[in-house]
Amino acid sequence: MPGAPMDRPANQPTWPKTIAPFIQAIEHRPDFPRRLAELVGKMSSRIDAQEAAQLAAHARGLSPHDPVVWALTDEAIRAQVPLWHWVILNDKARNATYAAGIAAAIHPGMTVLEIGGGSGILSMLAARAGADHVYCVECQPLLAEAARRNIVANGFSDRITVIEAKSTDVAVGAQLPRRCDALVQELISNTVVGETLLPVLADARARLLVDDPVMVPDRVWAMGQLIGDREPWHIGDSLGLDLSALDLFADPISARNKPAEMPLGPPVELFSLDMTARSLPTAWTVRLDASQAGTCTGVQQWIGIGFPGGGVYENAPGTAPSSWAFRHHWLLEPRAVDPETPVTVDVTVHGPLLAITPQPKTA
Amino acid sequence: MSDNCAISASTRITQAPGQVSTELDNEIVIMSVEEGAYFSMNPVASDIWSRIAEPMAFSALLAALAEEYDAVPDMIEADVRALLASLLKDNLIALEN
Repeated sequence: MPGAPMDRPANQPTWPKTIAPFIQAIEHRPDFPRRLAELVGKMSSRIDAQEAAQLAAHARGLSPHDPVVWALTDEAIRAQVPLWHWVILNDKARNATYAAGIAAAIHPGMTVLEIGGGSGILSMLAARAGADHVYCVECQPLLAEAARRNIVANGFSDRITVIEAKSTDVAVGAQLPRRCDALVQELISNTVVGETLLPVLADARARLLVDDPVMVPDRVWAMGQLIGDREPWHIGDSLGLDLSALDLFADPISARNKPAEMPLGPPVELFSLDMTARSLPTAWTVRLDASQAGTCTGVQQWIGIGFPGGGVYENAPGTAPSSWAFRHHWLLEPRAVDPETPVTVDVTVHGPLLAITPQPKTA
Repeated sequence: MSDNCAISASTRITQAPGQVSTELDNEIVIMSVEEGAYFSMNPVASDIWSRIAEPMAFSALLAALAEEYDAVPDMIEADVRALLASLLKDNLIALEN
């Protein structure tokens, strides 16, 4: 477990009113950190999730070398700080591509906005590239605090301000002195749009950025191809027992670290979003060809990110392992395909959701 | 069972020292400070717990509950005895005879 960063007196959070009597009854005991961790473990589902995470982090700060405290508080922390934060920060290709894109686009004299700051890495890269000032917006209190500490540790505290809020709650004249010249963001989910990318961008363009801002990245896209992999939920023949009643609750879009085993056609761009455009489309119609005959069960989808300076990140099949997963959008009704019989799909964005809907077969 | 039988009409019942309670989602949750054990009470048990914040005779408790709840007195008494036996086993209440 990490040692040094937690080896300091933790700031005492405000005790949640509902369980304050419990905490006050144990806070002077020598075993308080472990008792607090037990309390969080038992009550986390009955109190506000962010308050539970704050208490959990406090218990860890008080007893940074007690593995029992860490184990008891893991669920509460994980609910607020998912493990994918470590996965993306360990994606060296992602970090390097972002660093190059930021270095190409961010210059002295610029004021930069980052939305979804997490660890603060992209804000620090922007400061390192010469930005006059960077406003790092992070709504999760634990992450905002971690970002502040990282920024202090790296000597950027005079040029980066962490704003603990949702970007939609940030305003020029309040947290921001003026509209920012550039936006740096990595709000790109496995489906591109899953982290409410489009509404957040639209809001930032309207209220927080100059008229023609520098955007890093400046383009994102989704690629897709037909696949014939077995849908994971069709298990009706298991041991001769029909278990298909569970199909109704299946996950229509699986996330996979490995690409599909049975690609049936070439990759096709499902959609592409120009981040510098004033408004972004949310519906496309795309033809997906089959290069061989087979039963198409779904569409494998992955992401691409383009940067000023020409850098590109794409987690295409056959490339190095990525912190982004493949998404398999299963067809509700598998259909026969061959080189003469493509599948035309409607690709639509519904807020944070991406739907890939096959059009009916043409006669 | 012997604890259960030890409760007579005049027995005064109260919350034991060494525990703290709070209300969560309309239920009272009790923590025993030394053991670190937690006890969640349903709404009726929560009501009874609140009534014995100050010592209360068993007969007075039954009478008050009969006023509040639409149930036959024998059933109320049986349910309350079962609850008090459980609370006594966990050292959450004290009895004065």
